[in-house]
Amino acid sequence: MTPLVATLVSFIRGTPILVQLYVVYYGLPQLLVVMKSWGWNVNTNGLPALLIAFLAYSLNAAANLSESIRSTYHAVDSGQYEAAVTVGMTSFRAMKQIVVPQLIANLLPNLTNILLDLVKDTALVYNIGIIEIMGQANIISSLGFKYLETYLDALIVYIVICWVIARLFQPTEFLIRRRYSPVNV
Amino acid sequence: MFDLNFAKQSLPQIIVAAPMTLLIALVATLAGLILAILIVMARE
Repeated sequence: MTPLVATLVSFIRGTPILVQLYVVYYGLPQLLVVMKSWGWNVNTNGLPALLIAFLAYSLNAAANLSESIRSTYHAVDSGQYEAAVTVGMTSFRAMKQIVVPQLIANLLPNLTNILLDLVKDTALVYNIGIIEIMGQANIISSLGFKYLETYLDALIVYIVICWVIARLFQPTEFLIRRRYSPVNV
Repeated sequence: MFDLNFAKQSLPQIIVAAPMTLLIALVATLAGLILAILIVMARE
């Protein structure tokens, strides 16, 4: 199981998200056709592009987040868990009350980064027919032949969204870190 | 020449498409987080 998962994660982390998007977009319907030939009751027509985008981006986020979670898990000193068990906590309670809160405190900056990366990467879903910020900018610019104006608008919208997300996560991160981190900030 | 009026007119039309961007990013992050926890549990 572990080598298979590690290989899958390494594949997803080592390929551009646009390629992954295309592979899911063209590969998933064919997979459904194969499943139908095995006798599965699946609808192979009209697979929504949004579902494909969710799937491709979720897999990408999962691969990146799993590495972040692994590194933050190893960053928590094993002595913390051992001390919790020594004072009589069960293994589950030690994980829940000692290890996981510290893990979350360390994970939040990475989670914010991955969310911001995803917001920026969604600019590629226009390639499979979903109209989001970049898609809308492409449509408007091609109508009026005013490319710089519309792409500057898109740039402003992206900056505002990313700034708001970063500002929302900052106080949460600070509060959790102050509450659970062994080193006060 | 940069057309400021066109930029002003097109900005609201681009803002309308922002929820789709946020929807994809947020759903992918949440689903990715759940999948990532399962991946870590399988690997560790």
